[in-house]
Amino acid sequence: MSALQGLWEGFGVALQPLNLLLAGSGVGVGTVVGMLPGVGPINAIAILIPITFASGIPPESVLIFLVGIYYGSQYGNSISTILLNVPGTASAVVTALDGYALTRKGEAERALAVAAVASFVGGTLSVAGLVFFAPTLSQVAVRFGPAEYFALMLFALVALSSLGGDDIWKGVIALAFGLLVASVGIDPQSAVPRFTFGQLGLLDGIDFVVVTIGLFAVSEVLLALGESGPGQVVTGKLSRVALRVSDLVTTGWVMVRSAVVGFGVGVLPGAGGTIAAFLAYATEQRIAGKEGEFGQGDIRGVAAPESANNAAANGSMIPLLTLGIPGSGTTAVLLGALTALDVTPGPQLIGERPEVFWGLVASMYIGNLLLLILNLPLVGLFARILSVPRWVLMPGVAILSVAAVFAMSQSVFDLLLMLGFGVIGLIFRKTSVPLAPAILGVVLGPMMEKNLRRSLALSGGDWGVLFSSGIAISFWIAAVGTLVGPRLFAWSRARLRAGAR
Amino acid sequence: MSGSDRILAAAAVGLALLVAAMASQYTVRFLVDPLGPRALPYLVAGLLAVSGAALLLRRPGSGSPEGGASDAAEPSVQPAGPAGFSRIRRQIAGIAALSGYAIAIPWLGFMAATTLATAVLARLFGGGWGRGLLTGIVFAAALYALFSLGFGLQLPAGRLVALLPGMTGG
Repeated sequence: MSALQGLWEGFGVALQPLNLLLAGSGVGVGTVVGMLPGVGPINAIAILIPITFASGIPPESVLIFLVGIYYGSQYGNSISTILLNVPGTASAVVTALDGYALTRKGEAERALAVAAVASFVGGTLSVAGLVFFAPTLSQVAVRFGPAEYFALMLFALVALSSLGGDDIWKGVIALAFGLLVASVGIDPQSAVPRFTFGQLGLLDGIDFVVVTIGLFAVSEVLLALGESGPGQVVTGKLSRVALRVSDLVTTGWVMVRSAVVGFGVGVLPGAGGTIAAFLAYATEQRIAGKEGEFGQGDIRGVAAPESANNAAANGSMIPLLTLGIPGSGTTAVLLGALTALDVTPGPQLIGERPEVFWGLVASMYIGNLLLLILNLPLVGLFARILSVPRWVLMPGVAILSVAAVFAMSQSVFDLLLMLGFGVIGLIFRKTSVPLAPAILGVVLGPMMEKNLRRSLALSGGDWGVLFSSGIAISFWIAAVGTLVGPRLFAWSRARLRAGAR
Repeated sequence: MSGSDRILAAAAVGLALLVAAMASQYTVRFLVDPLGPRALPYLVAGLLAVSGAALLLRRPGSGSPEGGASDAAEPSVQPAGPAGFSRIRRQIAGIAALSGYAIAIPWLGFMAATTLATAVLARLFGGGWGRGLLTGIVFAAALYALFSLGFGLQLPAGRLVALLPGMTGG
């Protein structure tokens, strides 16, 4: 089946009334949670996984909804960033520089309009990239054996712990914690119970939904309890969104270039939307040179990061769908959702479950169009949600977390376990330990262990099997490169600077 | 910030020892695969020990550039919660409220427990009792409509309800 034919059939799936409705509500929810600081897409998706499972709708529809939240949040995050200088999610940090500067000049509507269009351009172009690259990558990945998968997962883990921007040793602590959580329960290969402390509730292992909601959503609420934040209120009423033709002319190529940058960064594990946005912004700043007013309200400084972070979100779907390997916290949660739905992402997905893959891709085109409509005329309506008081919003997140897990497992033990992870998440946040490597460890841990043990069993205990193919070796090199590269670069720059003095 | 880093590092090393000690007890009668069930826990212990040691041995000041960024910006706004409640006490109260909620669901029933828990949490976030209770009723009704009426899930009505005279639990 050719890609275009597949896409055509995908539209048949995505245009079904239920799926259209779910794509619309997904991107709507995504816009809201992306906009609200403290309620990121990862919290929303984790909380909504058990709720959507309870509803009994088919896997492709669940996926259309959950992924809609993911890319929808990349639109929404620009709203609070531009209006309040409070990034909805980390990937909108760069947008704040010029976006908020424009708001202070009284040009908030102009910035919001360009942000929406840039998100649309980045989103749509990267879905086209997905259509083009995903089938190709699948054909390569079909030949991967357990040794290749092990090396690839190792690369993903190293990249996320190393490029997370935080302290690498803290990333390793988070990763080890995730792997520890993953090993709780009966070991499937030897039937030995590990770290179960005689608790029946732990024999089957800890559900990743319990871990994720605890680590992310519950800890977010606890963190907010320790902060004394005033309710952020949008000052001044928004008039109609002002989309100027001149702005589109100035930023057209900026959006396209940034989409390419964002897509490329997004495909790589570990990098993600924030790095994509920084890179695109820096590139445009350099291209503009002296005639740019970057940092003081240059409209290109809004277009570049917004296009890039949307493209990165969609680009990160490629390794998830075609290899079954997530490169970020959010895609790790999506992988958990897919596995729980009995859909195994990987090279076989396109061939065996075309309705899931192509239905999702087609829905992303539709979703991006819906987002443009939501974000251009209705942005004022969404911005009003920002004035929901914290004493409603934060208890709402907490109650939803508990209710969602309870609906899934009906077990008070699981609820208390989730709250325990919430406390651990709070400690991690307070000591700046990144949370994403932990969740990646939880999701990838069992897969890595299985692949390693399987390849060693096949080779009779010969470790050489891990380095026996060119593909595996290149993943090992990539892993070592991402680990050593940035440090070597920083070290040599410091040497050069010291030498110049 | 190096103080809290040192505690984190010590905790990591301690956990590493605990994990390694527990993993050493895992034995299989015949070896199915060359690695066995101990390999992953040993890897975990190794990673924790190495990263903990690296954090401990690091010279102060050479740590993460944004170390403790979360604590650095202390907003000088009036506290949100009830007067006299410090940050940490609000957080402990929040955990207690949520644990109480979890335990209370089977006893009080989903609706009553949700209403009460929302009210307590809203109060901790600086809302009034009245408005908090009202919000709780709205949340409870909305979630009941979604789970019970929408998805057909059984939500507990509460064991205490069954104890009341003249009422049958259900």
